[in-house]
Amino acid sequence: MSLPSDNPVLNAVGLTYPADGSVLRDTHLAVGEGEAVAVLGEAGSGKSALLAALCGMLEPASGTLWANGRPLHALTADQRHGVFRRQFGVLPQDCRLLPELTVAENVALPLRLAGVGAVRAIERSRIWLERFEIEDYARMSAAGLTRPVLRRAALARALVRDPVVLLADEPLSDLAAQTAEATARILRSIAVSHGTAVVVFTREPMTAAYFSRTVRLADGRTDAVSVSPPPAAVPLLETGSEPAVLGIAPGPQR
Amino acid sequence: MNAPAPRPDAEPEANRLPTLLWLFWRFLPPLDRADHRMLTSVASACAYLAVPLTVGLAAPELPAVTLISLLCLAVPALPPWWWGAVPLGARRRETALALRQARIKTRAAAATSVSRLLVYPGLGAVVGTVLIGVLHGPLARLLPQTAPLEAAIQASTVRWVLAAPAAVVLLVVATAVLSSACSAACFALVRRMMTRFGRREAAPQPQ
Repeated sequence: MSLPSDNPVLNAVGLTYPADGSVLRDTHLAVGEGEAVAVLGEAGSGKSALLAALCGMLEPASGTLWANGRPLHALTADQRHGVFRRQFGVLPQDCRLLPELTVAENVALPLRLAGVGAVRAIERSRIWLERFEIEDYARMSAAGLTRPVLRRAALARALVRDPVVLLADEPLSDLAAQTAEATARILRSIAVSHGTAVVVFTREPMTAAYFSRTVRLADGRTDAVSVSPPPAAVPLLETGSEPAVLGIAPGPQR
Repeated sequence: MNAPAPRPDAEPEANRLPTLLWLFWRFLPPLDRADHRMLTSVASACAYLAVPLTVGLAAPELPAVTLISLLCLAVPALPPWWWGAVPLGARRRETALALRQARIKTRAAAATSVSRLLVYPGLGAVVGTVLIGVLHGPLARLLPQTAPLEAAIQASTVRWVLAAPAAVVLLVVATAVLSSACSAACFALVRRMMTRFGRREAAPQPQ
């Protein structure tokens, strides 16, 4: 459990979009290193706009955005895109894979674009597929995957470059209860072991309950910040033991 | 609030061109039967359309009767061309979206996803222009002196050489236009109207 971070790795201050604030109004969000936060809001509350603003797909009319100590609002569009590409992993709600490639190739794509060799990229993608328990699909074409498998593969793709920040829109929405639990546990453990700031956008209070802190979003405004205990069914493990239990190696030193 | 010390990136940025070219290549083969049909339809329509288009472009002069003849010649290929181009465009847009989700810039994603849109119509158009380029001599001898196409088909070699690549470029560009979202909306509208018309025709008559 963690309180709102006073040393945030992702810090959005006073985001407003558009200028009249009809979608986002003076929205604040601060997420610390290794913290897993749920942004909870009804449909139309501005979740998607906030996600788009945080991952650079939407330029807010005002406000500041800091990521990993860099003022993204002060950078040029190209510089900003570079930072987002290298340091952010994004799972959109309508996630898609390339049907022309295998699942492993899809997951490895961000690595290959970063200049990692094909063999090494595929090896690393397989590690992530194993973590999400979909390694059996590695050699299969991404065409015709079921939504739960597709979602977990897209999560693996978002995480394969070991991002500083992971933004996930409804990552558990199509998953069966047991798989959702396991996926939430993996996300929390990645936050702990890799120091990734995980931000999950959801309208389901049940999903939000899996994460250590919930930020409520209503009418484009973050209001109450609550710290929720993890659900009894999914006990949060101690920081030191969690990666070992899940078979996840600690992230590289960044 | 204190900002944390910046952490270095996990991997250095590299030249993305080889990977983008690899993706461009991987997007080319058809995935399934529907894909195969769509690509065959576009390629063969472009091959067919290349003939009247190249003749039209190569013709030293284009009287109205020749123009109408060329248009009539082109008409049979238009429905399969449009029918194939619309799903081709939809697939391109999906591919571009998936590439953007893999953190590729919008422009690079668009450029990488056009492989099929360039290659299949281009290939068809090249086949068509080569065929008419090779066969226009014998065809000109076969046509009667009064045929509307006779004057057009007897253009000089230089004009044929210039018309052939122009026809290929025009057909690729026109396929790209036909595959746009706007064209897809028009196609859906036409299809709905045709279906409605067809239903009315097939409605059972009261006894």
